[in-house]
Amino acid sequence: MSDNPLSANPVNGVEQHRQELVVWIAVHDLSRTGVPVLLTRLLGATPIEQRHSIHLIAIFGGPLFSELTSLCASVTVLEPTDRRSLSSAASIGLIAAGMGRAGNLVRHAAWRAKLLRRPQPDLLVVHGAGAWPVSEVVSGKLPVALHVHELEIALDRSIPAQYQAAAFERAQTVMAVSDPVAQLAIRRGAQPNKILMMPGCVDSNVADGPAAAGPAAGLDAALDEGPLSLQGAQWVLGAGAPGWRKGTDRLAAVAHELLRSGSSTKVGWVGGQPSGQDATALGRTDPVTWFAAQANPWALLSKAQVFILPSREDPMPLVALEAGVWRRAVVAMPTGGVPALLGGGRGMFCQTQNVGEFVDLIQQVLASPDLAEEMGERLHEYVRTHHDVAVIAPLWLQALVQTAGR
Amino acid sequence: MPHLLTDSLLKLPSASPTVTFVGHDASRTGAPVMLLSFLRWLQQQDVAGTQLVLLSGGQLYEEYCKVAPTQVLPAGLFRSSEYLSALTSALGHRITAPARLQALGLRGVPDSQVVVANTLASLSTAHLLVYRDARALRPARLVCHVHELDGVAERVLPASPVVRRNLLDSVDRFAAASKSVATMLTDRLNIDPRRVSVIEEFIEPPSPSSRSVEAARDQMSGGSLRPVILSVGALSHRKGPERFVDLLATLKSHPSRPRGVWLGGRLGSSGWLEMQHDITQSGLADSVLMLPSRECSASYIAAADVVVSTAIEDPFPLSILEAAAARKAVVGFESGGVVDMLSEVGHSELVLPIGDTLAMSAAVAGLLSNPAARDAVGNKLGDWVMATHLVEQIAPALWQLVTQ
Repeated sequence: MSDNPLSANPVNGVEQHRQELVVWIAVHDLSRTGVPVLLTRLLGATPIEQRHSIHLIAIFGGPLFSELTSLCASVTVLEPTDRRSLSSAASIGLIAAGMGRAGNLVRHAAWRAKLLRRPQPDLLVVHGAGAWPVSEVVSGKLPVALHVHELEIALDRSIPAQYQAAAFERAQTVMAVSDPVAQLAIRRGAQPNKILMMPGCVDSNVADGPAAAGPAAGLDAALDEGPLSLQGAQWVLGAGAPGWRKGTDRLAAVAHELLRSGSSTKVGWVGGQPSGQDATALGRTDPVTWFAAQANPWALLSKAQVFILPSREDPMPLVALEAGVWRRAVVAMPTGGVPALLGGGRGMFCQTQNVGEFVDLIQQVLASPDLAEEMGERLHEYVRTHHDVAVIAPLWLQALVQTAGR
Repeated sequence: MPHLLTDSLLKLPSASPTVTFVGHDASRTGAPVMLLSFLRWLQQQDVAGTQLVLLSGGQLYEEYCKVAPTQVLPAGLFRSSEYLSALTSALGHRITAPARLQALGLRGVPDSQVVVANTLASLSTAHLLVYRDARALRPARLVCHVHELDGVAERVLPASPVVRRNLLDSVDRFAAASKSVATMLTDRLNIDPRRVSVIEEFIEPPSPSSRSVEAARDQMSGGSLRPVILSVGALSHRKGPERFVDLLATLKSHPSRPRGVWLGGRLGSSGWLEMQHDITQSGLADSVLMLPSRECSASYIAAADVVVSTAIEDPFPLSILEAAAARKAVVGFESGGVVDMLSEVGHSELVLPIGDTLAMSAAVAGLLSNPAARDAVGNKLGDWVMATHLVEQIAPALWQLVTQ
């Protein structure tokens, strides 16, 4: 039997021909955020000989472009990130003028033209609901696997509520990153028998070895972004794209409360500063240290006494799994798969979204290094056995093969 | 703050210059509401020769029409210019056609001696109105009433530093809606302080009927005796609806079991859905009520026990002035005019560092537990606002700045 799950199985013990399964994987963008990063890990764990039949289609580009290009046969970016494409501008103009159908036709035609040279797919994997528009430019008969990484607000923004039932009907397989995501998919019209749990994953060996923490200069450079005197202080740190979803507006409350309690612990965030309407008020003292997004955030995050997840909506944050890899104590808001991950003494999480309780839990962990170490160890073990990429990637590949009907 | 004397001007309406006000829209939000109060006051003073041009319409349109000739610029033309801009940008060519196309939309606007941009958001159009006729020997005087702080200013001003500088330099006088706005203009937008005057926000004294106040109270409290904490504002992150929910979550265990009410926003908007999500996830379904924006906000303010501003950036929220006029205790984050207002009545302790929800929670809890202290704060604020921030007290200064 072939050891390649993306190849046709031999018939009657004789390999007739190795017809490769051509897979298109659609993703919304190639930013260094959860959904694209998980795809990078899954592809990285896919045997090299199988990757050459995988073609990636990103609606927008991003910093993971180079890495993903090396992990699959091709990467096609449909829209420029720095401006509107001509077709997109025309499409929006037509939609605003009440000609929605024509607008969609224009955009889809432009996308199809970009995909003309790619081999015809046997399967479309929609990796994250944000990439669902790509399903509209492939044949209606093509098998589709939809990997849902979203909870309510993000799902509704990715696929308008009135089209969700049809989307779940269209998909042969619906993969969910956590149980709350699966329950949401069912509430929105997915057949329970289509649901497959496919959680996030990490390489749990990444923290081992002397080079794992990254070059010390990386940490120094990151710390240099804030006052140098902060070096050596205790840190409460979190990471991600700042905004409502990640709850970064709550960091100021945490920092002020720690200051009031006489703690010298600093609060920081890796992933850049809030912008737009969330931007920190200028001309005011900000008690939070904001570190820029970086390729190896754990060079900095691994130094945290407490790793925090103040998220309002987070289906299965990869950073929580990474915290486990680095044996960090995690304090979190209860969202998505977080309570299941941190239950059993593997971390702490609030009963409801409550900043007061959140700060109390942080203070408990700060007050007890033994407790922090214990929680870090337990989370590490759990992540190693349940969320290692070596465990998840084969299941993912198998799900793709089954969806394609091979 | 010095208020300028304008009696001589007001007694000679026929000598007043013609003035075109340019507003970004007619929504029931701060800057448009204040402009309506100002235009109403001008009408009462028999000042003739004013007109209003709006970039888009809104709920206040009919009321505007009653106080000044009002026209909404053709939306299609402006949208077209934006699409054209997007298309040319996509092609890699920035051409000037969008501005010229927009100028076409201004052809129906009669000339005037003064053009007033009511916000930074409407400044580009006001500028276009002033300079549309390159042959004019003496362009109209350009005044900008700034109701924005840094975050919004950054968003609405042209991104190009050169274009932004030229636009700001073309303004003859700036009226800043609070001291913090003036500081932004001089310190961060590098405008000569001699061109900037602080003209703080003002209100028309609210006078809701007792019946409407009772109805509002009933709706907000759910017919219970629980105290009501109110916040009024659009559902934008700048106004902090998410922090309002966090605030109520931390007050869940307060013995008075307060009810929170957020008044403002649009049903079904993304902000609305986010806040609904927050309420559910915080276990506050029976403690926080969301009400869409409505005309009679004064009734709700008068029916509340404490009014809070969870905004991280707000030059001078009118709802806070209205709360003061209704003699309600006010608590807010350290942004804009709220800071000045509370410190002037000796209650700086009710101004909390931006984002410090837990300190705000403690301040609100203190007021909930002590009704006498709450009333005392409310009375001081009431006296202050009625003495200093009504339309008849500040509008003359604004009119003088526009016409001098």
